Amino acid sequence: MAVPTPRLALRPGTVAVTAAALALAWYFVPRLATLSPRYGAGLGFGILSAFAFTIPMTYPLRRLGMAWPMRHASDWWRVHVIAGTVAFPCALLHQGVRLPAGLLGWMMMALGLWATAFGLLAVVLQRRLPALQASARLTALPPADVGAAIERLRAEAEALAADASPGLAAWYARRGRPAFAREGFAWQRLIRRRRPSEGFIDDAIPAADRDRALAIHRLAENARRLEAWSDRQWALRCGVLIHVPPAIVLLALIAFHLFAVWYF
Amino acid sequence: MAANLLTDTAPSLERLREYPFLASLSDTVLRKLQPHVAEQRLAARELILRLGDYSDAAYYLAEGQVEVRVPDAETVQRRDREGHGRPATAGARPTGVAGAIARLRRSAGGGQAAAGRLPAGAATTAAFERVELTAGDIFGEMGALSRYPVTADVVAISDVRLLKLTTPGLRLMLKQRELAAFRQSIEDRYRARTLASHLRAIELFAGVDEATIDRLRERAELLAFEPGAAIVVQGAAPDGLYLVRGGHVKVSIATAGTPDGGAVTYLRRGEVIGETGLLTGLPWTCSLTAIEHVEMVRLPVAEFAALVDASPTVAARLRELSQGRSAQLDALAASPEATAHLEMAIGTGLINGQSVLLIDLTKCTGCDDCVTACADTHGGTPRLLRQGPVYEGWNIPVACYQCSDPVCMIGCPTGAITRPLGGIEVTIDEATCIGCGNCARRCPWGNIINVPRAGVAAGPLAQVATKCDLCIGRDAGPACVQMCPHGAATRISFQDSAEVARLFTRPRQPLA
Repeated sequence: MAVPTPRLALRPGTVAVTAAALALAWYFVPRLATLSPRYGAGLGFGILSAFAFTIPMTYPLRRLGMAWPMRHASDWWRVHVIAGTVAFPCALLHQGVRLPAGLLGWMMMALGLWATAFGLLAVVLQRRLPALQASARLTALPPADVGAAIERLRAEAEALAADASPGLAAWYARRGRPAFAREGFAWQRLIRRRRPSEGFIDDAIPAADRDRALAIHRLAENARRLEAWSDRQWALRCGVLIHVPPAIVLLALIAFHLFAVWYF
Repeated sequence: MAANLLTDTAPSLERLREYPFLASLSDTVLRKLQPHVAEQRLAARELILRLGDYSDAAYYLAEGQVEVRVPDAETVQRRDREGHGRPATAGARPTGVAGAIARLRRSAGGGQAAAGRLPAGAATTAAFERVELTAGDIFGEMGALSRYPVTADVVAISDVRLLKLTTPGLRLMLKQRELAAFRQSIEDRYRARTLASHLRAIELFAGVDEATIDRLRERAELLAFEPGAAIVVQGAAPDGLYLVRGGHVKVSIATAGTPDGGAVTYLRRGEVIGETGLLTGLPWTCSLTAIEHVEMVRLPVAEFAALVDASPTVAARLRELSQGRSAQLDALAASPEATAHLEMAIGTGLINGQSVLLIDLTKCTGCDDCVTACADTHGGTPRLLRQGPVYEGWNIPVACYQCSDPVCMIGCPTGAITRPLGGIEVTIDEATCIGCGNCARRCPWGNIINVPRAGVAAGPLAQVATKCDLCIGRDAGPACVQMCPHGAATRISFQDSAEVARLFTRPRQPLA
């Protein structure tokens, strides 16, 4: 059974949140010029933003106290994503959607934008990439073992071609062997579903060796799928590395900002 | 079952012929039997069979006396509540080298008693019904043939000589015409000791009076089928109600699309079928095939008709059962995909699984939080490997399936591997395990792995067997499922064929 391609589905919660955001925008956009970070709604958005930026940082706590306040790690993840998404717009409203004034403001703005954008990108990748590669996978293995698995497939293909006719041997040298060469990282593999290569089996293959060539073709396809899967795993892990350290620095800056506001 | 690493000896043909019940067998049959039997000599107080264990052998008592200690229901329940179904065995000890090692570990304070896991003193308060067996008696045949957990401790009360008959040997003997009397005695014992409780366990017979159960027990036919044998053929006249005693039975329905019959469900130990024919008189609407060696009980039509006439409650339950099954079979038969999933489960042996971890690869990002959570729960050593075959976009990782027929529990020399009575979690007590690898070798799926024992660098106890225990005792259930941030991990019982079909057929991963 082919795994269905992911598609967007509207949920009541999504509709409600979007409607609320639009209502807030409808109310506050004409009043942006009146918003001040020091008092009123501007200050409220600032507090909300600091709170919302802090909540995602509690994500690692899911491993400690699962019983409270959420029962399942997916609930922690959901709260992490929602709070992180809400935080940056609140920070913008906090300063009346004006450019920051000082270095600290600029750093917080840049890091907030970075953490939010790459966090959302990671969410999209986490939802899209597994679905893209699931239907092509015949086995699951640790990413570290991908190289060895491709090498095993290559050895199988070499064994099939070992005592081949001259026609198949020539085809294998021309098309078969290069298909098992490890390619570098390729961005297009992240977003495109792997298609069976066209023209891999050509007329130069003697009719008697066609089954053997098809078997080599299947091995080559499996090797490419593994490689693509490995790239996607790399991308998913990189997404976390790009997202987390700036977010930690941002939290430190927010703490400093709050201390400075309170102290001075 | 306590194995005897030093005392097992393979008997010669002449030696086998000295056993009165084998004397009539030809040399050919005895030669076939020879690899499946062994002689054992045990000293007084040695433990032979242990309550709650799974066994693959029956024992013929050639010399000496043994005591069968059957705990009362209250004792079993109390032990079960306390965490493990296996009651302590007063005065009994595991045998051979394994027993010696376990005793050494115990005396060094290294763990709990191999014979049980109850607090000190529990053994003395346990209530047992004691039955003494003498030379010429056979015991353990029910567990060996039907793979039910052993229901009593069996302890030598004098020095004994035993002939151990492993399951294949026992089945071979039951097929021999010369051993008709032996077969009859085994069947009589099953009827007398066990069949009544099996019948009472069927919901259909709940509340039926003792006299009726006794009559059914007397008239029941005991049947055995080899793997692949046709038990019932679709279209045949109804011939009774079938109860599965042991093994798995495939239920298939031939349709225009699948003339050979596609699997629609399967039956396992304790399940019944045949009620629709009894109720309507119509021919069988499905075929039954033995997937492995199957032991069944057939309650004849005439007996059943009398019971239905006499008991409106049974008749009503029968109608309800029949309607439910018909709806289920029709729904499954109409779905070729469901049939394919069930065939896969039968072909791969997953039908044994009562809690199989599956990872939805359309959601799994490979973050390894499941493995980390497993390791966190088990002192740093994960009990699952996130690798393995993929079926319909679901990864079946290396993690114990908690099989309905846990062959890993057979022959553990120290009794370290246990399952609570009435539970499904097969667990290994690390303090008692000697790392011999018996359970790991027996697991057909490679789901038990020997790992280095913490704090022991070398020597015979440097390794310990480890396997998924469903995070037994963890309030929130298995950590792997709970800690998956993307909801990709789930657990499923392959006993529920409708759920299996639903899981593998449903469309997945709509983006919110």
